[in-house]
This record gives sequence, structure tokens and C-alpha cells, in this order.
Amino acid sequence: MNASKIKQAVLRRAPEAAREKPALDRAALSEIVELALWAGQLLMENGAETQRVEESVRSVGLGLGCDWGNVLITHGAIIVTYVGGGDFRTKIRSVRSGPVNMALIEALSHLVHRADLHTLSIDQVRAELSRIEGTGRAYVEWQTVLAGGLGCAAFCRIFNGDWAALGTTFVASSAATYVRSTLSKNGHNPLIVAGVTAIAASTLVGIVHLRGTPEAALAASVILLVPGPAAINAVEDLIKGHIVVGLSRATFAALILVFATLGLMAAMQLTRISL
Amino acid sequence: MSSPILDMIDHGLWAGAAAICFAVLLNVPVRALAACGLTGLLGYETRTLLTATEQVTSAPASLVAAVLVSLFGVACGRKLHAPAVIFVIPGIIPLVPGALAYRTIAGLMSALSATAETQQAAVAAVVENALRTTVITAALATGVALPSMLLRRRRPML
Repeated sequence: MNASKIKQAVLRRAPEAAREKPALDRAALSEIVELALWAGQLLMENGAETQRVEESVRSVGLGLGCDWGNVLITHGAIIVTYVGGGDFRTKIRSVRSGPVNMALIEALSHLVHRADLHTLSIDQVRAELSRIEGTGRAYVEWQTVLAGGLGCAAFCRIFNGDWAALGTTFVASSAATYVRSTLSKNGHNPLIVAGVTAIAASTLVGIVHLRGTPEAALAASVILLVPGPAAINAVEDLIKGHIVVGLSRATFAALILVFATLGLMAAMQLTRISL
Repeated sequence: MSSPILDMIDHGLWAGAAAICFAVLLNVPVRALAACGLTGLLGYETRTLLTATEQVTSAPASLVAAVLVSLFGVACGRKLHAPAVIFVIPGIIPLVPGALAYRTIAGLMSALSATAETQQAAVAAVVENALRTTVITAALATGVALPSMLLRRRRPML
């Protein structure tokens, strides 16, 4: 499609939008595509659902002055095409999913909202994106370890475990949280991380527990590994029409669960507790 | 805990605590943690109350609970100037059928090694657990998505 045809198409579909904005040059258009992809990559890699990623990528592009854009999101990459100044640019960027980071999703949602109102320049968006990407996690290691232990201990209580089982779960899951974060930081395959963490948690339950209800402790100690957010995101993607991403996420969540169960069962053989 | 009502309150409070802990693991900002706890409490108590009436099974009860969690998350988001998702995902975690999911896969593994007499019952149990896990998870996610799907429609591309 040549430039004049694109211009005509844009003018036909959104006459006001195309006329009011100053024309973008090719370098600016390229820059906008890059920033929109960056925002999308950050969202995708930190556990946002696909609809949010798609809308955010679109808002950044249109908010920075493009006339028209198309976004395609897959499990492994984001592809966008933006049209502006009678020209178009298409780029692809690969993404890999990591642990969920809600603070980052919040920060990006504020940024996207401001960009959507046409109040930000290209430089401001770039500065803000690099600030958000550089922000570390809000909690230090011992706080997340404690949270992992207490969270699973709370589940043990919900499964009608007694206080001894609660204590066992706390010890086992705190250690498991530490094991998981250490292995993840070293860049191991997430499935291997899930399996090894499950072995660590359930073996510790077998070693620590003295009396009471070890079954509740065993079930609760591996709740940490249940891919809850991933499963919810997967179904949400499916019902909002992002079928392929939803299926990929569901498959991955199921695989994590299978590896965690394999670890759990291996440890059950060692410690002779049954679920 | 002896009485079922005390049990329900006790479990609900622990569900709230679990929601806060998992919110920390999901890196939810500190100022939103209390709201995450309330969300977890609300979701858990809603589902427990509904299933206690013995008129509904856990899947429709999960759907109702998730819709309430989602609406409460939107309210929290308005109040604290944050997207609803940072309250909704931690709040829904106590409702995710994690133990059931483990039992499904573990049952599958042991069904493979079961003897001829026990195999049929083992496979039936796996199918039942798998269905319940899937349906409850689907109900939760649908409940989470429903308010946003009804309140805002998809914007046109231009």
C-alpha cells in the first residue's frame, strides 16, 4: 500500500483524527512503535491479561500521535503496525513471561491513561517507561519468604489443619519460597523450578511434622506453586476472544501443576505421607 | 472450633490473611494490601455462605463470589486510584481450587499404576476432580471478567 492510499484510508475512517494532528516524520513514527512495544512487553512479562496489553499498546501509539494502529499479541511476541504522516511501520518484539508484578501493572496503567489523554511527549513516555522498568520489587527477600510461609499456613487452617500442621506448613513453605526465588533468579526452567520446589516443600513437611494432621500440611505447603493468576488470566483471555494466548497460558499453567505434582509425589514416596 | 458459624468466621479471616500474603508475593503495593485482605475475606465468605445453604454447588457459588470480588475490586480501585486487577487477583486466590487440582494430577498418576479392580474407581475419581477443578476455575475467571465486559465495551480501532 503506498502512502497516498494509506492517507486516504485514514481520512475516510477517521477524518478528525487524521486532520488535527501534526504530521509525524518517519523517525518519530519508528520511535512511537518502539515505545508502544516496550509498554506491551512490560505488561505481558509481568502477568497482565491480553486485553489490557492490547488496549495499552494501542493507547500509547494513538496517544503519541499515530493516526491508526493494529496490534497482534501472541504468547511469545507482540507485533504492531502504526500509521502516521502517510507512512506506516511494523515491528515485532518477543516476550517471555515471568513472575507477576502488580506494582508494575499499576504504574503502567497510570502511564497509559496519561498517554491516552495526549498529555505526554515521546521523551516523557520513554523516561517513564525506563523508570518503571528499573523499579525493583517492593518487598525484600525475607518479607516474601515470610509471606510465602504465612500464606500457605493460612491455607492449612482453611483445610482444617491443627496448630502443629500450621507450624509445619509455615516452615516448609517459607523454605520453599526461598528455594523458588533462588532457582528462578538463576534462570532455571520454570517447570524444573516448580518440581524442585515441590520436592523441597513436601520433604520438609515429612521431616518437620511430629504429630497432628500432616495431610493438611502437605496439601497446603505446595499451594504456593498453584499457578492461580496464570489460570485466571488464561480463562479471562479465552472468554475475551484471545483464544490462542489463552490456550497457551492454560497449557503452561497445567504443565506447572503437573511438574509440581510430580515433585510432591516423589517426596510422598520418601516421607510416606499420603494426600 | 466447634460451631459451624465460628468455623466460617475463622476460615474467612485466614482466607483474608492468605490473600494479603499472596498479594506480597505478587508485589502488590503496600497501600493496597489491606484492601486485598478484605477482598479475600469477602470472596471466601460469599462462597461459604452460598454453599452452606446447600441450594447451590461450589461452581455457581464461585461465580457469584468472583463477581462480588471483581465489583469490590473496582470500588477499591476508585478509592485508591489503582487498577482493579491488583485487588481482584489476590482476592480470588483463596478461592482457586489448588488442593483439588493437585489431587486430580496425583490421582491420574496413581490410576496408571492401579490394579484392574481399583482402576475403574480411580479413573472415575480423576475425571470428577478434573471436571470440578476446571469448572470452578472457569467460573472464577468468568466472574472476574464479567463486570468489565458488561461495563465497558470494546473501543473501535479508530
